[in-house]
Amino acid sequence: MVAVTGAFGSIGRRLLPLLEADPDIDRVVALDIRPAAVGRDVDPASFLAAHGKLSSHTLDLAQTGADRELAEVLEREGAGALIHLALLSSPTHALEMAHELETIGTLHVLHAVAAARIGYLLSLSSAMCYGARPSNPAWITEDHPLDPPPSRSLRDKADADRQVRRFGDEHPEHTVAVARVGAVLGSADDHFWTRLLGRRVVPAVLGYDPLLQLMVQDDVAGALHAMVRARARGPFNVVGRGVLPYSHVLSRLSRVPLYVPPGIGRSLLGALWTAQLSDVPRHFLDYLRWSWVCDGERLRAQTGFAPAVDVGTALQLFATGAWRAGRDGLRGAA
Amino acid sequence: MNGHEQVADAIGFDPFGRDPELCERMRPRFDDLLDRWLKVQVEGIEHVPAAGRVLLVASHGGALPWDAVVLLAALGRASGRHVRPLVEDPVMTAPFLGTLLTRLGCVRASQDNAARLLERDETVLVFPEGMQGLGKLWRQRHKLMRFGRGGFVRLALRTKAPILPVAVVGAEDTSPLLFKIGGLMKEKSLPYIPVTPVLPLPARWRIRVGAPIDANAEIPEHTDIAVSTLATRVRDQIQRDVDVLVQDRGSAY
Repeated sequence: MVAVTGAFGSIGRRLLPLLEADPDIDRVVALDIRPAAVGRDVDPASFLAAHGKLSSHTLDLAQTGADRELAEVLEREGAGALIHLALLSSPTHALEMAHELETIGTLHVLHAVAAARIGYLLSLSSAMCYGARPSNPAWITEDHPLDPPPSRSLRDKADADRQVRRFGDEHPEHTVAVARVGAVLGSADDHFWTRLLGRRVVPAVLGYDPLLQLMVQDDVAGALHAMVRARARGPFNVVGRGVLPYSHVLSRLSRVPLYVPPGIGRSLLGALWTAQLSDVPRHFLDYLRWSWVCDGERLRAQTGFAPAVDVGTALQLFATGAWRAGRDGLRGAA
Repeated sequence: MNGHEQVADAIGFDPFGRDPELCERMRPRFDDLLDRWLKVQVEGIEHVPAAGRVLLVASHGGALPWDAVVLLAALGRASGRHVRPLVEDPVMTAPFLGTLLTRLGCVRASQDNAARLLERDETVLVFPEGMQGLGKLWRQRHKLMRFGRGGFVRLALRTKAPILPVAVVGAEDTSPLLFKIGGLMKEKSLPYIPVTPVLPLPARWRIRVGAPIDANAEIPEHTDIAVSTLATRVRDQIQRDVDVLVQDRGSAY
């Protein structure tokens, strides 16, 4: 039995069908702040009726007492593994909410995992937590220290990553893994990089052109599924196959780059962010300036998983809008 | 197999940022630079194997890193391999310049990056003098500085790559460092502002590639002192070659 927090988020919606289709998993428990709804046009009751393996609980992880509530659900359902996806996929101006959800929510998850003696925990994190800086190696491996820029959204994520790993070190009876996911192309509502690259005019840093990795959201779900199956332990970079310079990404998508000098660009972005006129935090420009390419070899070696779609194909799918029609196993109650 | 054949996979982009199309487009310009402007002569190219990892260890000089570009083009052309120079941070993090050098095949100098390149059986070029090499004033030309901390020997031991000593004459004459304006940029990544001609002067270049050195055979004991002794030996050999090349060449221009 596998439980998933944040199950009806963008990655969860892709992961649930994989878990349901897995013959070694008898039941899937979806936990989310939202009721079992995957689209506005889908009725939760009929949706669940159509998915026999799936049950659903609404739960706000940020709330006091969420740890006890979660532990009770996990014990009642007899969960053997928990996949923690209830983290934000984009930076937000609601800093307090983000902190409560990511840092405190993860703390609640760890309490519940210990109390319910869950054997396996897989927690979502971000490859952006390594930080983008000139001193980065060309290929960042999992033993590279997390050093995010002083941006609240990434600090909270890195903090959740550290909490989970510390828990794993202190409780070796639990197998604990962290998936540090890189830039994802999917639906613009759900993914920060998708939203950014979906615009006609996109920011770029004058004089700099770092390599980017991009992966489609189905490959993220596939990677998480492979990690659960392999009971992979420790941190893993979950990144796309292949690299392309940012300028090539923009030209393949026919985007218009708005080149800004790094210093001025940062101040400008900072002002726009503070005024809540932009959803791009000021430190984000670092990620368009310095390399933060991650090595996904550990995931491949330990789980056998490799992304099905490389960066070029991912961009092609994205440019033609083909990803919208891609397999979305949870759409409709069919 | 040449490392770069692995690179040309379905994605078509080198994982260290080299742009094959740009390199192809630059080839005629590099030929002009090497043959007409700098009159580069290369000896000992037969020491560079047709395939397999190799660590080229070169002398460094000139206020601007023209030697990285000249060695990349000259050794690349003569050996048929893609030379990957490892270049210091202040150069690689400079706007435009860092990006251009990356597209040509340069990589930011670090042990990690170097080991990765060698494990891919690439032709890696290092300048153990580092920024000290670029910071040599005109009157210090053709004198090798301290060879770092022997990192290149450790790299060769770890990756079992043969070391090829490369003596270079011409870098300091092409881009002479006239003055250093220091003390202004303490907090910045640039240690000083070089006063130098922006365009390369038409100095005559001589490059000599020495016979391969198998570090693991030379110092099976891998101790720190053995590493530093071998580093110094390589440095001394390159210095001797540089002195010979300077003699041979006669006038710089």
